[in-house]
Amino acid sequence: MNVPPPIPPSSPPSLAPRIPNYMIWAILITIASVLFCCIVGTIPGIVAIVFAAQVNTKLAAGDEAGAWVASRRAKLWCWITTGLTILGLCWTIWFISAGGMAHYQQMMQELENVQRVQQ
Amino acid sequence: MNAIAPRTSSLAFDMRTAVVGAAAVLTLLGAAVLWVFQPESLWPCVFHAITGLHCPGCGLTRMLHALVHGDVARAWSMNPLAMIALPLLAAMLAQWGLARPMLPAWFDRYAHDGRVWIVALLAFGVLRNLPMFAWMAPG
Repeated sequence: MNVPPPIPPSSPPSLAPRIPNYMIWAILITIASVLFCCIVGTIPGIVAIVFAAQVNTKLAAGDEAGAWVASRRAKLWCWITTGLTILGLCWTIWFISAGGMAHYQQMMQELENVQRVQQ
Repeated sequence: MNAIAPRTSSLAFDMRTAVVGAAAVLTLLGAAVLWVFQPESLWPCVFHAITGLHCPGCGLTRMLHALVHGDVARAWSMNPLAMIALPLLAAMLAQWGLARPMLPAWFDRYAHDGRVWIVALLAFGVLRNLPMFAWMAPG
């Protein structure tokens, strides 16, 4: 994912350093977070996309140090989103193995009954 | 993501084609799943299961299910924010994929600003749990 693509021999050698921008990881994990972590994991995912987008912008503006900072932040937020998504995925697997939606609805019904008694 | 970056090399072009193609395939696949399965047979929201509150994404599966089955009113009632965001994201993807501007420039700036999305998601997440904004909650 962060391996730079091979430079075609016809293109002139680039002097700008290749800084991983983590954009693909950021986008894919944000989509996965919508599916498995609800929107809770999507907010750090958007932060990751924003920092990933800053890498190339800053590099183009000649700010190499800034690009490295954005790259490291993008990586950090990608990991946060990945962690949340893995937690969500684990919960989803547990949920399906624990009896699925019918069991869940019964549980929620019981919870509502308890709340009604308390009021 | 850069709003409209010019096509610089064939590599960049292949990248766009691949991303747009993957998005199209995933959309069709998702639509097929929701055409066959009921939302109740898929997994619910983790956040809702733990807290009992509606997260900004709650109702998303039911919304997409309703949309696949042509029930726009029900889709809107399940997740109004996603109903606004979905065509917007599709337009953003299309204009990036075609490298041709489709949204007005002033609007495009906001659409590509992550802060706007985060504020919108958080505000929507809070409001839909309040009784006076119950129309935002799924159910």
